Amino acid sequence: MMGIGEVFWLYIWLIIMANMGLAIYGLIMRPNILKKIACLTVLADTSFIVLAFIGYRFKYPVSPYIMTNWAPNNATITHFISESVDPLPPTLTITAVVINLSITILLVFLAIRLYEVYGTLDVKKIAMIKKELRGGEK
Amino acid sequence: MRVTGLIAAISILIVLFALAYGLVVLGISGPPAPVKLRLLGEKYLYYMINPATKYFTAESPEGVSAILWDYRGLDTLYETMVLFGAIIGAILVYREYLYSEPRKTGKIYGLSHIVRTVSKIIIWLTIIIAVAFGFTGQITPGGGFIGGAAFAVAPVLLVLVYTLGYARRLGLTHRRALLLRASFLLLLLLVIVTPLIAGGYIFQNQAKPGSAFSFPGRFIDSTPLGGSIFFLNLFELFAVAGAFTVAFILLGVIASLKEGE
Repeated sequence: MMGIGEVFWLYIWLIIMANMGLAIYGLIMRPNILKKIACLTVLADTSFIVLAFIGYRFKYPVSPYIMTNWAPNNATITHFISESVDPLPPTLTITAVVINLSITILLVFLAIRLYEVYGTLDVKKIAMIKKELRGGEK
Repeated sequence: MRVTGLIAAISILIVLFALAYGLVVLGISGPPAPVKLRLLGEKYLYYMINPATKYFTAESPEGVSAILWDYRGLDTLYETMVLFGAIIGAILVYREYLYSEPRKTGKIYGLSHIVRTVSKIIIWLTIIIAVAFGFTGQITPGGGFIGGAAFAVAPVLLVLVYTLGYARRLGLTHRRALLLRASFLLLLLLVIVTPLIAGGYIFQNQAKPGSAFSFPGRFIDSTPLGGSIFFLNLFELFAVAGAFTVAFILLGVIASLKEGE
């Protein structure tokens, strides 16, 4: 028999999976590059939720990873550890946010350049234009 | 086309359900609904501000900052390099635009007086909050990157509400933003190599076996400073703000040129 924490855990995981599925589907199937970038961002954001979720503790009371006592002794630290969530997943999230933002910035600039060259952001149309151009060269 | 889409959708569903099965039933990310901390997380929490363990403490009560700029400092440095690499890549794609003046289309530039007045307040508030994020990153959530990203909202608002030409008249140019980014990046690297020059280890924050070098751990009023974490957060703030400002100025220039065409 699953406890309420486990049912909630399962429910969140299913939502995360559904979100990831939709993002990957959009990334593969949508021909518009801007939509692909948006789907990539959704996929990255979902993975940040996964990280935050992995670091969470299903207990009460639960506190953030910030020590309020600035001159702690061993007892204070032990009590803090018994309540605090894992600080490593949020750290990895920050790293991932930075990398995702860098990629998005670069992709947006490349998309603008692509629009300038081909006049469209549709990958299928771009492929057709390229094909025509290659045919013209021959 | 529809068949391809259907096959893609079914494949994605199969992969995701396999992943869900592994996570929920097999427990590959640990037990479902974890109550206990992982050992690694426990160790970080134990050592991050612990006066009893002087060789391991980071003197930062905020766990994420302690890990980012002390225990996993090199990881963060490379992450910062990726960000600056991406910005440099974006500039390289559009470098010729940076030197072109935005065209005037005959339209009235900037938004209404009400929007301008409200934005004036918001821009200053944004800057204050962003700087506060950087200054207090070692004791509260926030830190250099978050502060820098928040800081970059101010030039975006300035360009959107007052136009790029006005922002340039105020002195907000891509050259200055690049200079800000480069100088604070250099300062950041200086903090990283200072312990090495003093005979210690690269990225050293507090004293380690074999090296007594230590950045100041506390302010005068004994508020935790986090040693090098404080300086790294602060320099990262302005470096990130400069990098994002360059990107936004570039986008503003491209948009104004397109508008003029």
